Amino acid sequence: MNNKEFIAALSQKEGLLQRDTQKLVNLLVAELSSQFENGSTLAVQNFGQFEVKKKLERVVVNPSSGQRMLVPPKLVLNFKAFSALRERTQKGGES
Amino acid sequence: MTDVKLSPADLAAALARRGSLPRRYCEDFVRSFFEVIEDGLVHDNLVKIKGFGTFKVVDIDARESVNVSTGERFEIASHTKVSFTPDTSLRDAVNKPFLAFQTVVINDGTDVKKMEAIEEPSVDEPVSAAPVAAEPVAAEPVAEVPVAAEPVAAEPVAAEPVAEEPVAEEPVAAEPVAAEPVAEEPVSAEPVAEEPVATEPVVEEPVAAASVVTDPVSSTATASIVEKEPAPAAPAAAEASSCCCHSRCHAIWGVVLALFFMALGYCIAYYWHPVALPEWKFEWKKAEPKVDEQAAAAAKAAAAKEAAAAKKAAEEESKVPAATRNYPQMDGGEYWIVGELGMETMSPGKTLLNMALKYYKDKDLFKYICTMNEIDNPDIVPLNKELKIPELRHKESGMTPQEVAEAKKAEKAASKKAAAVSAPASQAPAAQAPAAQPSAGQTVTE
Repeated sequence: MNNKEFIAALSQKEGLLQRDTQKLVNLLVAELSSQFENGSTLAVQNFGQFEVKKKLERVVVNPSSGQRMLVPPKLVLNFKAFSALRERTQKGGES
Repeated sequence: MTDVKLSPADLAAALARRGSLPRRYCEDFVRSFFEVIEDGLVHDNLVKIKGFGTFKVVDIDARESVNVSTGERFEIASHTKVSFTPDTSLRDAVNKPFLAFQTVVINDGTDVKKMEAIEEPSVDEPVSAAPVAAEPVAAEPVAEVPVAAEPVAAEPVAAEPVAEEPVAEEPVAAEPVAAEPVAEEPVSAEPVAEEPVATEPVVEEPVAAASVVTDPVSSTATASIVEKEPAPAAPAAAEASSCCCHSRCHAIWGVVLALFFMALGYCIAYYWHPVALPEWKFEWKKAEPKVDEQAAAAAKAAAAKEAAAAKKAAEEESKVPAATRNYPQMDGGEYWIVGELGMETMSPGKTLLNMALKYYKDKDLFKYICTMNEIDNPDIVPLNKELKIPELRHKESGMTPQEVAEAKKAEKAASKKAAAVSAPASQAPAAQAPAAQPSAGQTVTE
């Protein structure tokens, strides 16, 4: 399901025009983005949790050249699916 | 960073505020949003949302594991997992505070553990003004050390070990940048040993700045001397500092610590960076005469040899473009600094690396920007500092860095075609040298 299909499905569900749906989704994504920028955590029931995690800087070694690199610290957005979602995808995957 | 836990209702409220929409409608929309993602995952195993990211159902194979408490082996059944990969835009937005940092190659000689070991004694230093004990800078010639010590600094430190080296011996070298925190640390580390030096106003002379060598003649001259006899220089320096210590009746540990730092710095410089030595010596000589009679005598002797070496240096100098005299040069570098390409103002998001990339197509050449602007620690460049961008010419072929890069590229392509082992990189520039020569000649006459 790519972006277009996703918008189509969502507009059908909401009874909106696809164009408007896309606008709303963009708005929502912008809102989410600014929330995550502030380090907020979003937990959606029956779905999962989005969390910003800090990764410390670390030294990695290129196995082929033996070169050592210092990877800078970074903040990453982490998603963890709740069990309800996990179970549903499990079934869907098998069927 | 506010660490708020949001619910879909909060999100809907925020969305309603942002788009000035009815709140109930937004709540409904947010709920549908996640429901559609879920449906998509169940049916398609993949949902892509522009600007947000990709949700994917990933199959994970069964694998064997061991129960940690009992040591029993058991199998984790194959299952699926929902993975989420944020879009680049979202990822960058989240990572905004650290966006400017890049992955950096650590030099071979860098030993992080050693750094930490040296860090400890310096903390005990009573005179030490700076609370930060990132002392390794003072003792180690290795460039990336500060990066390892300070998590925030991810940009490569001057690969020019020389810049740090003199700091271990004398605070002088750090003086021009005394306002910067890291530069201050070496100063505070050594005050016991070098007290007289610190009080001397002469010390302020920016000439002592590590990488600045205004006169190519004298630099080459000293270089040749030091290469001949580096060993006598060390004892002399040690003697000088210990004299100062005794006269001031300082505690013994101060002397021991100072000597230890000097010996360590000297050894490391000698073994790993023989090239670094000339400059270190040069530093020492400049400041030492004002410090001690003994040192003055040593400097005199050195000066005599300098005169002898001057002839040799003069011969070498004939190859050097005349314009180089007007600019600080980097010792041991591949390029001469022959002019200014322009000015850059340091602003957030700019780094010396990407400036070097912009002007020279080679990020390693940021060292020349450091040299040109007398930056001791490329990790710390004051905001809004005006930086002169040096114009570079290759020492052998007289080509600009861009030409060198192209020549290298062309050579690579050629060697690929021939399917042979690549020839040394210097051959390609040499081949193209005649073509590039006229442009180099022009700058020289200017």
